[in-house]
Amino acid sequence: MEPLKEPSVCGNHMRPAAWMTNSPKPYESVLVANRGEIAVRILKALRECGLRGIAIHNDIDRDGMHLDYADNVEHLRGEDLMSTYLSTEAIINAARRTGADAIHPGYGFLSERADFAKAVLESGLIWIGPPPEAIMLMGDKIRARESMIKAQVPVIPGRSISISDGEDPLPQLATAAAEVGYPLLLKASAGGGGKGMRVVKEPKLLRTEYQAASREATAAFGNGTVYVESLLGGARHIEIQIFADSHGNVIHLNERDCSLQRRHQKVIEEAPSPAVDPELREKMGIAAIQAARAVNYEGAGTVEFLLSPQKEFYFLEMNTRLQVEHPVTELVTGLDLVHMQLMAAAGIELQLSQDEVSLSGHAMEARIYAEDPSTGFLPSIGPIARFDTPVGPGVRVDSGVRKGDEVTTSFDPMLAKIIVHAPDRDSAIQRLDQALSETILHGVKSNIEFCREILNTETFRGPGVTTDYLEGRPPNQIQNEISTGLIEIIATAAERFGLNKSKGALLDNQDNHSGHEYDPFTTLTKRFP
Amino acid sequence: MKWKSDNSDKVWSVRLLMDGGRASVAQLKCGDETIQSNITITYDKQSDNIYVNEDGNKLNPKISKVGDSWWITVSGQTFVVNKVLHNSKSTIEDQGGLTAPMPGIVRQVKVDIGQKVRKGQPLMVLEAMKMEHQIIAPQAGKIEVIHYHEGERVEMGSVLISISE
Repeated sequence: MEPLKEPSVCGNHMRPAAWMTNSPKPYESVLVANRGEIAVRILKALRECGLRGIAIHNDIDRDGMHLDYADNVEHLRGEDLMSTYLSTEAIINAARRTGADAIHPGYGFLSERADFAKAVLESGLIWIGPPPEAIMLMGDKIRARESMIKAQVPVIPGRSISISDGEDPLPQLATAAAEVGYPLLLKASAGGGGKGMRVVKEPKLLRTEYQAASREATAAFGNGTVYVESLLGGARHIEIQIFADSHGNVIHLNERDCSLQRRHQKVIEEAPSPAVDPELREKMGIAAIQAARAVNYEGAGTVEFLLSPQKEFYFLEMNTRLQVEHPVTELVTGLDLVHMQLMAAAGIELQLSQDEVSLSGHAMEARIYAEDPSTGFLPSIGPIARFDTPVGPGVRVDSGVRKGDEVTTSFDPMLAKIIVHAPDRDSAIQRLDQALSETILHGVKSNIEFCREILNTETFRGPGVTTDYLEGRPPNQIQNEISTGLIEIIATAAERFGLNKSKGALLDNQDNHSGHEYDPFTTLTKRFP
Repeated sequence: MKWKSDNSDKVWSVRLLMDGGRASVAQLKCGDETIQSNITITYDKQSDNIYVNEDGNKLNPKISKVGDSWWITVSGQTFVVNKVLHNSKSTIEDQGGLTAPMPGIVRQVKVDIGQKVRKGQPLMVLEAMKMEHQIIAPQAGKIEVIHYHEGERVEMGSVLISISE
C-alpha cells in the first residue's frame, strides 16, 4: 500500500505536490499549531509531501527544535501558553499573516478544542482534524458515554454529577460514589492525559481528591466538571486506532496496549497487545468503528478501552486527534498516519480497505520524560548537556529536543520517544532495552533507567502488565555501585584534565571558566522562571 | 576533591597522581575510611574524553559538566556527582523550613500563620507542568511564616513555609 499516489514529486517545495493539486480540496501550506516532538514529526511529513510547513513559537522557545523543520516561522508574542499556544486568536492571526491554507493541531494544546476547530473552519482555513461536532461530543465525557450507549458500545459503570456555583459538591458526590462503589475514579468531564483524574480509595478522601481534580481540570481545560466512574481492577488499557475519510469509509488499524502507566500517564506502549487475539481484535475493532461512525468521525482518532481480566472491554474515551503513541501503529502497519491525515483533509478517499490493513511484527515505544524517579517523579529541569539517541535496524526516535536546549517547567515534560520494531514481542523488548541503553541524557534527570527496569521485570516480559502495575511501586532507588569510588574518581579526573572545556561546558558563573567565547550556553536566556 | 552523588549519602574524597595524560589514585576515602584502588585514567586530548582502566577492564564513560556537577554515564547507568563545597554545612531543613521540591506555581495555601498542624497534614498545593503536588507537614508544629502565596512562582529549593516545633 502506497499512501501517496505520486511520491516522485514529494519534497519539491517549488511547486505544489501533484497528489494535492488533483484532490477535491487542495491546499499548499500548513501551520502546525504545536511544538516539541509532534511539531517536528508533522513538519517533516509536510516536507515529504511537498507542502509548505509553518511553525509557531513564543517568547520562551525561540530556539525550539521544531523551528528547524519549518519553511516559515511565526513568533507569537508572550511567555505564557494562554496567549500563545492556547490562543485561538493568536494562531489564526499567525495563519493569516503567513498565508497558511490549513492548520494541523498535533496533540495536546488546542487539538481537542471544538471551538478552535470551528474558528479555524470559519476563518476559511482547512482543519486537519475531525469535525468540531465530533470533538465536542467526544470531549464531553458524559455526552460521549451517552452516545456510546446508544451506539451499543459497552461503557464502564459510572455516574455524572453537575455542581452549580457555590454549591457544596459533597452530598451529590457521596451519593454517586456510593452507587458506583469504591475504589473509584474521578474524571474531569473535559479531561485527558491524566490531568484532572484522581483515584479515590475511600470515602474520607472524596472531598480533597474532588477539589484537586476540579482545580486541575479548570486549569488545564477551563472546565471543572467532574464525573465518577468505577475503577476496574486488573484491567489493561487497549486502544484502537481508527481512520475515517470524508466519504464514509472507516477502518481500524489494530490495537495498541498502553497499560504501562504512571498516574494515568502512559510510559510504554506496544502493538499488538499480548492480551489481544485475532478474534478479540476484530470485536474491538468493530466496536471502535461503531464509535467513530456514531459521531460522524473524520481523520485519525483513537478509541480507548479498558480490557478486564475476563477479556470484556469497555469504552473509556475517544481521543479526537493524533496520539503520542501513533508511531507504534505506523511500524506494525507500514502506514504513515500523518500522510493519511493530510490526504483526508484534502478530501481524498481512503486508499486501503480493512482487509488490506496488515499487522507485521511487534512495535514498542518508551516515552522519555524529564522527571526524577528518585524524588517520586517530580519534574526535572535544566540544560540538556548531552543527548545521544540510538540508531540501528528497527529503531525510530521522535524527539523534540537536542543538545543545548533548556528544559523548563513551561512545557510538557515529555522530551522524546524511542520506538522499536522487531519480529516478535521478545525481540522488541530486547531491542527497546538496547536502544534505551544507548540513549544518554545529561543535564536533566529522566526515566530512561526506570523504563529499562520495567522492561526487564518478569511481569512485563511475561504476560505484560495491567494499568495498576506501577501504582505504589517505588523505582529502584539504589543505583548499583559499579565499583566503589569509580564515579568519584572519574569526576576528579574530569575536573583535573579540564574535560568539556574546549567544547564549551555548561557553566554557571564560575571563576576560571566564565565568559567562554564559544560556550553556547552562556547565551541561553530560557532559565526558569 | 570531595564528592557526593545524587541518591547517595556517602561523601568521597579523591586525590589523583597526575602524570601527563595519565592519572592514578593517590588516595581514595569514603567518609573516614581509606580504600585501595588500582584504577587508572587516560585523557585523550583529541576527543576530549577520558578512559578508565581497572584491572585490565576498559571503560569509556560519557561525561558532561553541568554547573558544579559531573554527569557520568558508565555501563548504561547515569550518575550525577556533585562537588562538596566546604562551607555548605547548614541546610534549609535545619532551619525548620519546607522547601519546594520543584519549580512551579503555588495553587493553594491550606494553612494560616499561627495554625497548629499535625504531621502529614497538607499545607500547600504546588503546580508544575499542569500537575499538582501536595506539600505535606514533615512534623507536627505551628506555622510561623508562609513565604509564598497563591499564584506566586517558586523556584526549586525555595523555602515555602516555616514551622516551629
